[in-house]
Amino acid sequence: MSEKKNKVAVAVCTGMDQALATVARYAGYHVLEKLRPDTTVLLCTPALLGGVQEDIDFVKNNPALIIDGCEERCCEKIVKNSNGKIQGIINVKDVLKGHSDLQPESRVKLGPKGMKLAEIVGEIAAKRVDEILEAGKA
Amino acid sequence: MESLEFKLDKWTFKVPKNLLYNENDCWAKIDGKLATVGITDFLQNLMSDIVFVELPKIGDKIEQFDEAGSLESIKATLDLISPVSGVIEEVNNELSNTPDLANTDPYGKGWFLKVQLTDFESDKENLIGADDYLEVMKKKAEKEQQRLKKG
Amino acid sequence: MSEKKVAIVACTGMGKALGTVARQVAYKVVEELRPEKTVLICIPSMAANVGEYKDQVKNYPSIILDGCVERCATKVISENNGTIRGRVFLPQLVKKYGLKPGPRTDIGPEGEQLVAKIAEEVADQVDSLLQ
Repeated sequence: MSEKKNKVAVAVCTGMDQALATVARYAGYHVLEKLRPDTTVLLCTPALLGGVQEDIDFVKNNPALIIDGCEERCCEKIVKNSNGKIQGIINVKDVLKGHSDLQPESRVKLGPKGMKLAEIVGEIAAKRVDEILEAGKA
Repeated sequence: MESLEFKLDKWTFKVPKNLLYNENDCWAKIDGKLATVGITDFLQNLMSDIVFVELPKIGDKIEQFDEAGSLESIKATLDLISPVSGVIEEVNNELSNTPDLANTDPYGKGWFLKVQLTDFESDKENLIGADDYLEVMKKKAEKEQQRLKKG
Repeated sequence: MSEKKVAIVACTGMGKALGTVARQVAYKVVEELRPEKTVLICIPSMAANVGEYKDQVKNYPSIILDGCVERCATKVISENNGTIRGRVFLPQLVKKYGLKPGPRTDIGPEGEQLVAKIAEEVADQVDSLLQ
């Protein structure tokens, strides 16, 4: 990827099974909508699987940051299979270890603690976005 | 169908070269005295999923800039502003059953109306080609992006 | 194929509010309305070969909840040899019920009402499939 990129593709696990997947989802929205609206594009992981060309093309041509929900790393695997150029990976489960008081209520409704965890994940992701773009300038 | 393209983030907006456009994001394909009318790729993207289309009746007379139907999405309801004047010869009834044709194939199966032209010599003064519409569309797309960022 | 349960497959897309609505509908059906009769499919896990989802999709009839015209959930289940016995296209139900959800991060009261109505429809479909 020799051409300078000014946006990072943020891919989120969008899993249904666990509350941490819901945390990942809201972390993705937090990065895109609040923290780094000018330097991120939110990918739709199901759209990668469903063959939506705009998502597939974007992930191939831009650096990708993964926000996975658990140790299964499904989003990472999906983006790799889509020939995405993964430049950063954040795992919500790892972030929770450092903030064990912020257990989400449920996968349906995160509650205040879960939303706070999502914001923290989002902030970590935002810094990673900056690092990825800075590294790309070198 | 050869098109101009504008990329914004992950989206690519197409503007076919063989069509004429108005600044309300409608296109017209002119075939002699008949015009086929629809909405642009940009507008369908802006609207998001279209769930209902209301069309005029066959035989209705319309002037350029008249409301010639409406479209409703989960985000908004919008009037279709006719790019041409004439008499409605045909409407796309497929849009009643499958309104999202306007999203998936805005320049093909998602057409809205066919109009028997009555004053195209005047109408074309107010229509723009693909190059000019591309510029109009770029400004709108960037403005919309800024609006979304402000929340 | 076993007909004892129905697989509920939500698109869980990120781009639009109806992806969030689809997700909430799936949870409501599986957790509240028909917990004994349904299984919840996680599309990303299935794609990553995690868990039993591929087997469940092959063994149980599926009801798909698609949030937009791309119909990703339908495509993914079809590609994984699932048998689709019900398809809910959420944009049509927005029109049907006259309920428009808020943004994707907070679907709001109308969005919650929409979730409740669609979930009831899906629960009825589950009952029909298992008769």
